[in-house]
Amino acid sequence: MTVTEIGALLKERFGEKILEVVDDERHGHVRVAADAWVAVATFLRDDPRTRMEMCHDVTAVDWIEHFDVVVHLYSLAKKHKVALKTKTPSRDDATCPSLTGVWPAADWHERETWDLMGVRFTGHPDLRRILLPEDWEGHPLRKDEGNPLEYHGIPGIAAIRGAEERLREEELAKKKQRAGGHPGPHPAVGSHPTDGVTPGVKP
Amino acid sequence: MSYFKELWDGIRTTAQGLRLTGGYLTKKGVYTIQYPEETLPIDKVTHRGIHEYDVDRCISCENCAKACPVDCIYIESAPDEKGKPSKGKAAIMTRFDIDYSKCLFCGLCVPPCPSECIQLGERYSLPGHTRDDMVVHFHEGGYPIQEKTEHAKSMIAEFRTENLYEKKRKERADRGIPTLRPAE
Amino acid sequence: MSATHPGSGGYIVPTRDVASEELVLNMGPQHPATHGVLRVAVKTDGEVVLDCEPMVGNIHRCKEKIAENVTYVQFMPYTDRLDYLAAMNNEECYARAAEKLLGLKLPERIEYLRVIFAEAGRISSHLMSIGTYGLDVGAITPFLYCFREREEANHLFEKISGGRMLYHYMRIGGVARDPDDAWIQRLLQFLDQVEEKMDEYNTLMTWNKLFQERTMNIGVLSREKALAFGITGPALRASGIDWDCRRDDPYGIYDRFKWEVPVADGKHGTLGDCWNRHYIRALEMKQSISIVRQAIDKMPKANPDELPPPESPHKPFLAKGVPRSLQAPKGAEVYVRSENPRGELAFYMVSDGGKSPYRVKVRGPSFCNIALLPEVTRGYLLSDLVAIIGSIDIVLGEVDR
Ligand code: SF4
Ligand code: SF4
Repeated sequence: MTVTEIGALLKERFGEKILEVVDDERHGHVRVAADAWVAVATFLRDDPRTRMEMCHDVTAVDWIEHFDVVVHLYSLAKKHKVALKTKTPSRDDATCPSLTGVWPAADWHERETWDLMGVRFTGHPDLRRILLPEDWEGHPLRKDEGNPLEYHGIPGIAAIRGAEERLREEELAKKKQRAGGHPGPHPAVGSHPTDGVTPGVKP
Repeated sequence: MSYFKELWDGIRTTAQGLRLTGGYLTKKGVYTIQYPEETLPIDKVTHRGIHEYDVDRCISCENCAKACPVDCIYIESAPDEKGKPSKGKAAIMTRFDIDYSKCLFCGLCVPPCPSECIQLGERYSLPGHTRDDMVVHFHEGGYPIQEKTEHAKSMIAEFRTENLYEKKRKERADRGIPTLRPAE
Repeated sequence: MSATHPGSGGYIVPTRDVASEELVLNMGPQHPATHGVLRVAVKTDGEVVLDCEPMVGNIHRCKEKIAENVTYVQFMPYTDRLDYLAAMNNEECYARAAEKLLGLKLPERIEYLRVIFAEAGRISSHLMSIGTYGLDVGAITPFLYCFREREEANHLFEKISGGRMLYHYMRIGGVARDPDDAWIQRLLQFLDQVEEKMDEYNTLMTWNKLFQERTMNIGVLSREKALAFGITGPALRASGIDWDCRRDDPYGIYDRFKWEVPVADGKHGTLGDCWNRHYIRALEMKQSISIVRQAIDKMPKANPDELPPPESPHKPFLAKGVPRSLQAPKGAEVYVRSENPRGELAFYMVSDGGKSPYRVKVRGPSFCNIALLPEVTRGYLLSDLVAIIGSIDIVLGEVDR
């Protein structure tokens, strides 16, 4: 089935809950109202015409005002695919019903989306951070999330950049003082047993 | 009974495996080499190791730094008469550093270079004790380039006819920037 | 009162007569059998695993955030570092995703090169997983033998791309370098060598009784569970599901080749056990060899009109008309998947019309496959846990991204 046919099927069943059907050759998707999210997913899984057994991926996209939650579904028996999309109510209220009851596969994907994007899946049995440590603050994939300055004494990239520049300037100042003399090769050159050995040739 | 059968199966299949490995005792062929006394052959044209760079030919266009995904190339050139950083054939490089604690060895900095004065070479060992040891100062000579392309050779010829090598070297010496490259 | 646990090999595990206590064990993240920095918290009762929880994220590098800050071309070397044992396949998938997003068409020769390199990458990756699986269950020799062949693959890839592990060979709209005839000959020799040595690995591992005892009927993954948990790749086919997205949802030019998708039939062991997962990999390598041979046979010469030779050896081998600065149309989205050695890798890319992608999501097969670890380990012995993790064959670079 094509995305248009699946969309028509869903429209017939769910009426105005299906907001948009896009059958684009790049990425065909069906936009669903958030309150029908789980019902549409269950229908797609159980209906003999669609039989979407495999939940390939759950993710979210940050569109500043709101988040789009995107699910990619595949049917191995029918060999067709569709993507479902829904909006979260707003940026501050980033919630979406969880699909773990429909496909257990959604469990880790939703945890990851919560961890990195900060979309709260209501009804998820165990919504914890997965990739980042438990005490991490913020959700790094949000567009307004900057680089952290420090984490448990480990300097962040922003802090390292500043320090590097400072070190570099000190070093340059030192070099200027060393008048005339040839500084010699870089300290690393010639400090390893293989240095100076032509590769591939036995000495 | 099945106990003895399984036992026999275990002995039989293990003996087959032992015969196979035993066969290698008499076969000729060496599969291990003694590093670091011996090293593997490296393809001189394609190997992506530590960069090679020609400080005299660099025109300070910063194309390589822009192409780098991790921003690990730092470029500065001496000011010209107008006080702006010198660009083009007359550029005098005062800084060309690559930070190898960041470099991915991806080679994306090589194709955009208009004068083909940077390329990935065949060296791969750069041990050090600090992060600063990982920064190679190519403008001080660093690793001289081994020319691989016709275009590069023609550029060298052009530079020679215009005597740019001599000029630049003299100017760098005047400014106290050392050059490791031997005089030609 | 005693009970026999599945997979305890008939050992009687006391449940009431002897006082036993639950113990939480920590395996990893520095455990050699976890194939990287995976940490598994295992709840055990004696030697029996009651429950376990994989804790991932130790080498999380936020690749998806990096992708939003670099251009399309610059993200390519980062994809190597996802599944670092099959870098070619990651690159191929990302290149196809970016090309679809940007609307680029590929010349024939590039399409064939993509197939050749992806399949050669699969062979090299499976050599690694078969070898290290031997190591996991206590056989060191197959590991050494597999690495002998993988070394040749590394040489081949180094000769063409410059890297031994992180190749950065595929480029958006082309490849890094066009292989010459000598290289193709050497690749064919490599295929012959692997095909010949496949029997050795099978003698040493697959048909060895001791290996079978360690892996057969262990970690059984049923059809239903495999589907529900979104398992892909050899693990899915070992559970008896006939699905390979190269054949059933063909991408690139895979519909032009003839090969068989190996699917476990349950003749040996139980459907979906560790041994079947291992054996499917061994069979898949043979099919990959056949695909590479077919592709080399059919590969056309480069047509200079659509695929001009690069001006200098430094420049990549790109199709004509690939712009230097790539910009996708605003609002374009793609979801592209490919059959990686470990399952289906997919890239979801969204563009906002800028020079870098607006959002990139990597669906790593290992990430989905490891999520199922608690389901397949419950009730087996602690030593089987190692065998099960090895048979699922995860790469932590892809789990943690
Ligand atoms: S090889 Fe890649 S990472 Fe290294 S300096 Fe060049 S562009 Fe930057
Ligand atoms: S691209 Fe080449 S010429 Fe330009 S700054 Fe870099 S090395 Fe120098």
